[in-house]
Amino acid sequence: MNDHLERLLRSAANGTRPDRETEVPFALETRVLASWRASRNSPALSLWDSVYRPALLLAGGIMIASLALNIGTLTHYRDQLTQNDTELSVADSALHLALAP
Amino acid sequence: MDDFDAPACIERVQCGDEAAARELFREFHPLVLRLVRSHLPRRTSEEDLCQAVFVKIFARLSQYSGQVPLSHWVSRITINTCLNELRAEKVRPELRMSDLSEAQAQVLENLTTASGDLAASESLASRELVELLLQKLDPDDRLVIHLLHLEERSVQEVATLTGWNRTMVKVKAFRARAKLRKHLATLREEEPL
Repeated sequence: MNDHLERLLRSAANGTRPDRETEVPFALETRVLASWRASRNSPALSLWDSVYRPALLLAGGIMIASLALNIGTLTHYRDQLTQNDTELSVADSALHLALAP
Repeated sequence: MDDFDAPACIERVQCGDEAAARELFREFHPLVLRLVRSHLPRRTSEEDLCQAVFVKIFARLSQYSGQVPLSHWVSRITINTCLNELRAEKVRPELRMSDLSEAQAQVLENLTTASGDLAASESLASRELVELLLQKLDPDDRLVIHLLHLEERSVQEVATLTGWNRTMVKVKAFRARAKLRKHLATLREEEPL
């Protein structure tokens, strides 16, 4: 089997296809040069693009993530506030009743 | 390629000289085209791949240090671009006896029945058969077999072109040949006797 593969590869190495056209296609040359020109004309990354914008996006992401992670605590705090309000109104009404003539 | 002054041309391209960019393109187009044709993925057009290669070449021109000839650097970018395209091609086609042309089937039969080298007239069919078998291999395996056995490059040349070290080239070639042998055996088992 070794021999078969070696013989096949040896023969294949000698097999070259008839020359196909290698002339430079005008359309390809135009596209490549246009792309090169465009890359030269595009302005280099400014400080805003390279530093501030990613930093701002990162900060925003962290804020959203921390809000999402602490949503449980915030909800619990709101419930606690409502409970305190109820207690205060009960105490208020007791005071009113006591002081009322 | 004799009159081409690579460092001067690169400098002019970097200064924005369009004539120099065109000169660079025309100088290396035959080399890039030849490499792309040898390592072309099935579903990609050679012109699109050539364009992708040249866009990379122009984009990275400032990274060329001049330590190796420019043609080596261009070849390496071309090979790596082709390799990436081949890696993106997930599906490996099935290969059956019925897919072979008459000449390819004859080569397969002669491998079994005759001993010694195949006839010179069978070399083109042999190459087509090997290229069909290569489509069954992974991109790295395909590349190493192509460079070593079809283009008959040395291990050192393959190492330079791919960026792998010499040992890695030898190991990859050994494994690739083993896989190729297996696919050849499978195909031969199908052969009607």
